[in-house]
Amino acid sequence: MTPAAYERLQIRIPLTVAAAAAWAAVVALSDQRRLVAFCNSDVWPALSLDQLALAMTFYSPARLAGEWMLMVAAMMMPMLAGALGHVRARSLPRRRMRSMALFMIGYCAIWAACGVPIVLAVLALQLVQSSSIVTIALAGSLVLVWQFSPGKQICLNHCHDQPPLAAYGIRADLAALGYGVTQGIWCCGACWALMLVPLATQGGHLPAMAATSAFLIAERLDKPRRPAWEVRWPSTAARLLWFRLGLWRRSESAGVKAT
Amino acid sequence: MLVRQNVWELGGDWADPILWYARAVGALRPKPLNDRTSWRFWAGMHGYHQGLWEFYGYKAPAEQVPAQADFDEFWQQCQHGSWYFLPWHRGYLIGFEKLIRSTVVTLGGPPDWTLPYWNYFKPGQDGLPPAFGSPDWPDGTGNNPLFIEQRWGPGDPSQPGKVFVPLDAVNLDAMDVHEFTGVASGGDRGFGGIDTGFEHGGTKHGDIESQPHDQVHGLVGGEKMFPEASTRPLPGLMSSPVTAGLDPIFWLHHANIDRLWQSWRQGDSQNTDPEEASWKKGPASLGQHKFVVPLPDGSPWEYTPEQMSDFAGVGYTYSDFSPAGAPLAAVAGRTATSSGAVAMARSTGATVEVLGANAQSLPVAGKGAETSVQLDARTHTKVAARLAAGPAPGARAEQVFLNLENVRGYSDATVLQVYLQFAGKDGAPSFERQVGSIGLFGITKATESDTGHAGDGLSYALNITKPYSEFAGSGNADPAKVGVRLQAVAPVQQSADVSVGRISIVRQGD
Ligand SMILES: [Cu+2]
Repeated sequence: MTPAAYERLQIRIPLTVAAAAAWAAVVALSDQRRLVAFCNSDVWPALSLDQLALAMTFYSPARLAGEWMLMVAAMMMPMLAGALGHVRARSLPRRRMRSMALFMIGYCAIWAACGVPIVLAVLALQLVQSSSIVTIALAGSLVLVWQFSPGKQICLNHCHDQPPLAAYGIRADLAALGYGVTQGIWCCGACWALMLVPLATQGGHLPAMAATSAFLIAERLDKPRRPAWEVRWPSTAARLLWFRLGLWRRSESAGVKAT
Repeated sequence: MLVRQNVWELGGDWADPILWYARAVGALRPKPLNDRTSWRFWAGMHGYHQGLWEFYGYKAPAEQVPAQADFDEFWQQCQHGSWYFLPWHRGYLIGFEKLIRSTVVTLGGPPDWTLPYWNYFKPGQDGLPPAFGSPDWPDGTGNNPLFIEQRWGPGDPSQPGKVFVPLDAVNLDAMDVHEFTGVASGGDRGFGGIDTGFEHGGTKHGDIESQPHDQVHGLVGGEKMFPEASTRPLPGLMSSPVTAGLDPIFWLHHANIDRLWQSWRQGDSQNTDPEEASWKKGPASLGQHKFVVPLPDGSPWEYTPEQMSDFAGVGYTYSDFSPAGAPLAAVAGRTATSSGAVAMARSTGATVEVLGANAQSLPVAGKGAETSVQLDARTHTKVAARLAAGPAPGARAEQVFLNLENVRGYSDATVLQVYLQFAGKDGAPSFERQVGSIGLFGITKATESDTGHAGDGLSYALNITKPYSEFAGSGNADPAKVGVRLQAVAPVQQSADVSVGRISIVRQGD
């Protein structure tokens, strides 16, 4: 293993463990998940204030927020290796844990705040139409418009930012926290639209979440590029898959020849 | 066997290989931009910038760049800040040499033409070879295609032929590094660069790329103000990756870097190329761009680092492998002693830790800039003790690096000499040591955030183990602070907005 690959692994292993734990929790809670049910509830088409109040007592906001953050943790954790590795490499050894924690706090705070408009957006879609097909069509077009916009590309490019970070004192704390906040903002910008997909999917919510997560990771593998309106898809991941399959076939045939 | 010769030792300023090179360049230059065998197509494979190409007259505004398919397949491939730097450029040189040779043959020249190399380290050979500095052919007529107006450094810009490589700004320290690839976190990056995917403009250059490769680019190309075109200085052709391939001297510089790769491998039995499949098979194995250049008939030739690593199979050799052109005796001795020794522990798994950093971003303009790095007392004490004790048997040697992080700006030609100043305690005099230099080759692209880069600039890691040991071992040195002085080889324009985001000192060891 190369020295740089070893360093990457030092960050990726704990992140993978954390993401796996979050996934396990999501799966374990999937029977009684309120967030998706809340978003897809029959209550919304005939919404009145009374019913909203009723709904809010039934679906505790704290519980909804917890489920939202669990979902964020499961999906976003695998994509934080670059930024966390940067914080680790640029911090004094005795401050590493503290700086990484501050980064996570800033990052999660942004995602928590973004949860409100994202859930409200899903509700708004529900309110406008009762038919789930129309909801999916509306959410789908919103997602596509954002996916192909220059705004999305700007966010994706900034997800690779690795700015200078102060080493000492309060300035070091603020730098780590601030880096977490800005990474949170760019990450929300890159991912918010696709997060609607699992939220708006009632049947097969877990597969939808897994597929979205895989897509988001694949997107991150592509290099930054000039922002523009264009049809984009995760080409690096696709080519990687293609190459691996080709290689597998070649080694198969070589093995056949050898025997 | 085809042998690449030292350009200064061909037997005259206009010896036959140079004359034929000039004729071939002259023949390839007028060819259309979108012709796979044109001079400019080959430069575009390294890098491309519409504005600069048009401003310097290498592209007419109405002229078409290659069709999208060719553009995507061949152009903008050069690998920098990556462990693919050496193998990509070797394949690029092989393809180029084939094109020139076939052109030479078409013009009636020798079928064994080879690309000469420019070893600026050899005594008396630091100057630009004269045939490249003269606007005229040997018979005194003008239009010598080897002459490029846009070479402005580092001497008097009004005399563009008088280009040289100041030897105090370059060194061969990379030749003493025994690992091909290293760490990305601030320690040694390895002789050939860090493990990355396809990197057309990576931010962390490996050791041989950082020194002398980057410096020679900027020192030859230089930069110049064109107030009518830009408030910022514009790079000479060699100074920027997006124009470097247009300058005929580019290829002789890279032949020397390519030669140094093989010198390194021959110099010590520990020095070997990576064994990882992701290096050997190239970035195509990572789902990324393959390495491909056109052959003289225009057909694509795909190559991998694995093929480039097999020096016996590449079809050429060099007339001399001694790095600085000195006798090889010392190198042979080193090989003999090291081959029996236990291979040095690889830096995989080494601890890399920040020892200290300066407080804020440092603007660099005019003659240079100064700052100081505050050291973390506890870590410094630990490092000082380890440096004094030397490595335990089987342990990694303690190493110290100066990191210049997030270097941004718009002056690819800038070369900064880096000095450390150790303050004396209780009125003892301070002492200063030069610890190397950095060349900002590629800085503009690394600074712009909308062109496929994050815009965080380039980062450099200089090995300062020796001066740091001296400082740590001296009872008279003040351990709280280390001064850092950057001294520009040519003045840095204010408008170029050059700055160093942070300067830190990092230790690497067990
Ligand atoms: Cu180069």
